[in-house]
Amino acid sequence: MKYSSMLLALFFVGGVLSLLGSLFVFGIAEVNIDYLFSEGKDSGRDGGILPILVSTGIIWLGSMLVSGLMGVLIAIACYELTFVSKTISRIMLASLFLIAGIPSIVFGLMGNEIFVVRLDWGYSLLAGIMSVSMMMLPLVALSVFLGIKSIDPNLIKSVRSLSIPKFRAYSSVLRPAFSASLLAGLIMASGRILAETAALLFTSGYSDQMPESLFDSGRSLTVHIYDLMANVTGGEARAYAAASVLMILIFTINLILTKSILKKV
Amino acid sequence: MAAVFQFEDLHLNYPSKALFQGINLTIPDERIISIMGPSGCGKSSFLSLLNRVYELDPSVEVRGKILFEGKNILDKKYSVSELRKKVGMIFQTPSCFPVSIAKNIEIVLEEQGIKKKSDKQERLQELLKKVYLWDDVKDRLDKPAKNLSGGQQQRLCIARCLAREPELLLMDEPCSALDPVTSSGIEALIQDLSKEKRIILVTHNIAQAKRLASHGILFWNDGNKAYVLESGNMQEMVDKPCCDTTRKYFHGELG
Repeated sequence: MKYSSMLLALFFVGGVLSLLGSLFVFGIAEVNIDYLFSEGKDSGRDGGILPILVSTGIIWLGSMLVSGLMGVLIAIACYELTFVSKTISRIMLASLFLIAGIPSIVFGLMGNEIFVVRLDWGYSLLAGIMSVSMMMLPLVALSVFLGIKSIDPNLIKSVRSLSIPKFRAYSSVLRPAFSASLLAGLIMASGRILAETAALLFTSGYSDQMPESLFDSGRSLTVHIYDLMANVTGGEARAYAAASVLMILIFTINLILTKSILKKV
Repeated sequence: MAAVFQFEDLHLNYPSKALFQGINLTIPDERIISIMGPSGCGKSSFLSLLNRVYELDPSVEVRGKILFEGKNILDKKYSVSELRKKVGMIFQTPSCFPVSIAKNIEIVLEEQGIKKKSDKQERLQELLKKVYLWDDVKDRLDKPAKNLSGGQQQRLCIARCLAREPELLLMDEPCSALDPVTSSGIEALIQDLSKEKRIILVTHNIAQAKRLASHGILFWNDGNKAYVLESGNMQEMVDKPCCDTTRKYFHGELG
């Protein structure tokens, strides 16, 4: 049993590493300073990916901020509702689980309808940020909710018995107790934001130009990879290069965030 | 005799049990009042009514009146925030905020309107001295409060509660999680604090109640409901118990 488990683990880890390794080796040959810091040419077959990196960074940062802030607020609302009506709180939690199961392409469609069409933002980074944030909301909110729920009930009682206002209680007293859960939620969300394609296709759009404001369209790395593979003849090599950069980005950010969460636990 | 709290036909129901079924009681204006009784007789539930922390559990249903300064504190119009400023509470297990020792108290001081750094430092020192913690922590005020020992944490919680300047302190078995030596230190502190504030103390420890309290309230549970078996002068309750159950309880034969 011990050896078969080890063999299975080895097979799994080896399989994943070889897959990632080959993808990385194929792509990394194309990656250099010029590629990273110049604009694209000839539909991405030539030139670099600077505007795409900037767009990806803006979408990532914006989505982390929006989903982090809204996730915390929703988690607090769910928790506070447990003191008023456990049924309403449970309905809210069930809704979060339901939203978590919705495919990203549906979020893309909804984002397109709400932000691009109804709010008239057009294909824009902001529409992309909002759509991806809605998608990440359950992940962050549930993680923070479980963090708050695991706080010692005596601490909550103490805070209440001192009549400390709720905003102050959460921002100054209870935040250190649930910040590890928030970070855990954000780590999970971070990888998914960087890897998201479908929701961004219909919201932030395809433009590979340098964005000048949040209302400009901007192409994320994943959309760029999709476009090179689906629409650009001879774009495969550049798609692998973009995939390598994306992997390095995901690993680096996850490593930094994981290190900070390990400090907290 | 002036009353601090007056209970009129008080009912408290948990989903599985009707704990209090029409309690009428007067808590007199004494320095230390001890609430005693065996486990499960509703002492802590009773205490939780006095600054409405029972509201943290929405399944608890409370009916009746509790008069404090002539007003019914169970009335939804009565500001719970004002009540909790006047009636502070210390819990069985000390629960320091997950921040530094100083910050634990400064957060409350800021809520009291003390914003100036020098004023805060002065008040912080005063409070920590009052609970005999200053000498132990003066060199590590910026260190996490969770690193303090159990007794020190309880003292910090008392100082934090005092920072709110309550008129009355509710103490729910504040020594039960502490060793005898630390416990006697907290007991001396309670005696000290009672010179300035009225204290309602829930305790399992009959000897402690005898040492500290001038008035005692003994709760009992007949299996269906909890009720006040006896309430009166502590010494008289011990010397001339109203019934055999009280006598046996004070002699350690029951509860």
